[in-house]
Amino acid sequence: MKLSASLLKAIALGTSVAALTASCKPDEVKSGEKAKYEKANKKQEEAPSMHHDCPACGMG
Amino acid sequence: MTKQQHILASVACNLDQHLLQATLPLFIDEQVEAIEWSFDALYKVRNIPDWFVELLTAFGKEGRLIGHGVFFSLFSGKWSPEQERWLDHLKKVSGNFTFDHITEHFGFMTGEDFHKGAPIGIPYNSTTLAIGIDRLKRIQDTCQCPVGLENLAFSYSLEEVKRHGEFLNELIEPVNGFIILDLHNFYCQLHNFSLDAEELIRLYPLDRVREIHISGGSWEQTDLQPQRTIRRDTHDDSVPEAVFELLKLVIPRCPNLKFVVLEQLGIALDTTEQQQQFQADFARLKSIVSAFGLPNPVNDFLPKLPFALSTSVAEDTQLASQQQELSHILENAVNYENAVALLSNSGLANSDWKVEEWSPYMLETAMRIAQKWKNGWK
Repeated sequence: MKLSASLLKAIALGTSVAALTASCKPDEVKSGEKAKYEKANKKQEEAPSMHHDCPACGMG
Repeated sequence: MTKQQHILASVACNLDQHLLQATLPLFIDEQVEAIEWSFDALYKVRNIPDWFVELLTAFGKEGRLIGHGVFFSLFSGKWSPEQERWLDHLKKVSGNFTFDHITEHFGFMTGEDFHKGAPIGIPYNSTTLAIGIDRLKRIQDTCQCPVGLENLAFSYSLEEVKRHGEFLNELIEPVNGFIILDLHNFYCQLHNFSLDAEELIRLYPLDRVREIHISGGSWEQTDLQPQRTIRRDTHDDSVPEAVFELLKLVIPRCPNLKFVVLEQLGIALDTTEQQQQFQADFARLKSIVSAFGLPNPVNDFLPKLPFALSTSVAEDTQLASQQQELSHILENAVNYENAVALLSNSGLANSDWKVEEWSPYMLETAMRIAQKWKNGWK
């Protein structure tokens, strides 16, 4: 399914700088987006670490 | 019913940095056709990032978002305030996002706290059947969309493995529900009980399968039989070839199949190599799914008739007591012999739990699972 370019960039920004540089062309990263990245990153920092494991299937 | 064009190649997509990093290239290449979200797994997260909400919304608007619960504990003998809150949460997220269907897991959660434990099997009898049906009706009444249950990877005995598909069918029938056929769970059962795939497939109602999961897992040694390995559904490795072969085997037999989902935990996706393998597994999934013709679903999995909820939630005090005893034994027994002794002096002895028939190495595995999860997610 096609996702908008802005959403894809937001996911990249929100997950890591490494993902951003690996997944987007350099010219897609505009300096004006730094604040957006910081905002997204701040929200993640506010949250505890994301879950990394799952017992649900019964043999986890 | 809108005609389904093809089986949707999907990813279990949660708010996990490494998982999203691994999935992002697939999103960019427009490969992911649907996503599955564990809507009850963000209990520690105070703020969901706007972009994740936008991601869920985008797939939901296209009928390509499915919800997968983890913590409801369908078969707890005692109805808890946490289960009531779980339903409240489901109602809220169902209002915020458009789910094509909602699913939960089979079993009850060990552990006294809602998020500290692992799902373990239950006896297949009229009491557990009534409890399961009542709780499934409450889920369906809350989300107002098709509901389904996933087959469990864990079983105490061969008899339980063989009856699992039939019992799932009895549970979902009153709500016209469906089954998530987790093929890695199925693979665990085949290996751990030395079964032939064809033999076990025949015992599942495949016309009830709307979703398939594939994932990886791990091997574990058992102290009781050193020559034997136990397959565990730990979701921390790439998809084994045997699971891809099972996928090819069952797809043609599942006429109502709509989603095939790749699951892997973020903890196993923190290196570039692991992320590339995840992407390769997804490409393989998609190539297999694409090779099959257009499905011709005849079941929308919505209730055929309106149903009334009883004013009181189905409960059973004896079952609750037995579950509490079992959880305590599994979490605290120092070894297999100790667990056997404790079980033989418990309320589970000579009951429908049939503890006397449990495979020793599976009791040992149940202890390991319960003791791993008794402190919750680290």
